[in-house]
Amino acid sequence: MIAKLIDWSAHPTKGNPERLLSRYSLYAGLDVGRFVHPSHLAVIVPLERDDSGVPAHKRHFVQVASVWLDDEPYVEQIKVIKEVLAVGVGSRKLYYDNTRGELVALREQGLLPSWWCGITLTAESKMQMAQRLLLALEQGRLKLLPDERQKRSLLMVNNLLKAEESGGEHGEAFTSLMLALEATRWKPLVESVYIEGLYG
Amino acid sequence: MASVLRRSISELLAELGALEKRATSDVPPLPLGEFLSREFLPAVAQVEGELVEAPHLRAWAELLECHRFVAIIAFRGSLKSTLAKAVVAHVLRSHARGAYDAVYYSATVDLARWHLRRLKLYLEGLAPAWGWRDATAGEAVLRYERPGAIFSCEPAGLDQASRGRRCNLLVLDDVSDPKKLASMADIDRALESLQRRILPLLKDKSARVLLVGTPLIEGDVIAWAEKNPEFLTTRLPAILADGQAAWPQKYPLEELERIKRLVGEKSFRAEYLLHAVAPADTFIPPDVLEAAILRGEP
Repeated sequence: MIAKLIDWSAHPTKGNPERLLSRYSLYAGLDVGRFVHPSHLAVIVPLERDDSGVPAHKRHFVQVASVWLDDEPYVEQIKVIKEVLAVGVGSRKLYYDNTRGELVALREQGLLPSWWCGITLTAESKMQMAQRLLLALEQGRLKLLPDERQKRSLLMVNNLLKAEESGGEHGEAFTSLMLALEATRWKPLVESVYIEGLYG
Repeated sequence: MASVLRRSISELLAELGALEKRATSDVPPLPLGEFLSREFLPAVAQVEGELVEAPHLRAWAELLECHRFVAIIAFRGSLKSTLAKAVVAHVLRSHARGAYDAVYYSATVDLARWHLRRLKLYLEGLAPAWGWRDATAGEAVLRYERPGAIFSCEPAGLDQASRGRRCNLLVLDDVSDPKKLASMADIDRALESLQRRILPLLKDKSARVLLVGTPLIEGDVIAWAEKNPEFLTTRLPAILADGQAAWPQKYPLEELERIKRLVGEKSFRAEYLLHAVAPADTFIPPDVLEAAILRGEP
């Protein structure tokens, strides 16, 4: 089952289709799951244009997509995620949780786009990323979509960064948003323009 | 022949005694508070640059003069680690005879090494003036010698698996590592390490323990020390109960406000106001999350 909430209404491109073609970067985080826990994709975009000269980590971001993928085969999940991210012409980066290596086989088969980057989370790196996510929310630098399931998922994570097993959600959105925000810190050597087919 | 030999030995012993006396009597005793202001902080300033006057250091020094087990819980940047180093330096200054062993514990051995490297820099001019000879080339280990006395201070990490060393002074400087507190088991392990591996190795009934730190999570080492009746605990949040800044010379209220905006509310409450978080509470406070969710027009 796939549940997509995609909403660009909080972004400056709202009501201005021409600006949709502007060079807005897209950053995504994916918490990978399938059977016990679902996958969750969070997509955030900066509110400034890429050529604003503001360092990426200092920008303000707004979430434009929250996608839940329950019980879907990984190949199907990848197809859906590619569709969600196939907008605009700016550069893009997706960080996915590679701690358990669910997507390794698909990566080896060349089914993952080159701009998808697997991140292995350690207790140390997870705490750092979580602190950055919290700070961005506290400082109002990251605005989130009104997705109730996402909200429940975020509130499942405790101060030890563990999510309770009892609830329906398991902190998937916490990981995906954390990774999406982390993707904004990535610095390309050469700014690439996303073209479907060329990059995946 | 025997009487000549006896006389030579007694002369030698007398000379040795005089030498020892000379070596120690050149360094008149100085209470820790005086030592801080007259000798240690000027040496720190030579390495770190000018220091802002810190009246709370003298109050802490007085506590340390009177108690064997002291826990100082204070905000980031309050110079509590500088005080911990001063305690080690003060012992070095006053130690006269035999071997004295200190261990400097931090959350990781790398962090403890960093602290001792700094302390060694501070002592570069002081230790020779007290008659000590640096007996090691190691930059993160203190090993000093003078006639009839040896002093050592070695770095250690609470994360190390090995047994601790027997010591006269145990300094625990920020032993909770926020990056390693991934579960209640981690918290318990750190505490157990302290209780079973480190504290039982105090050499004798004059051995001392100084714990300095900032509380991170309820039930951690700091919380344990606070509850332990053997420890004399003092707390210094950056903003006092009456709303005044604890150290206005360096951190006036407007500077603390700026820091709060920089590090965020939750970190500020922990690091500057000393409110440890409960493990079971949500990492993102519900009100913060609610404020971050878009409702209608942005």
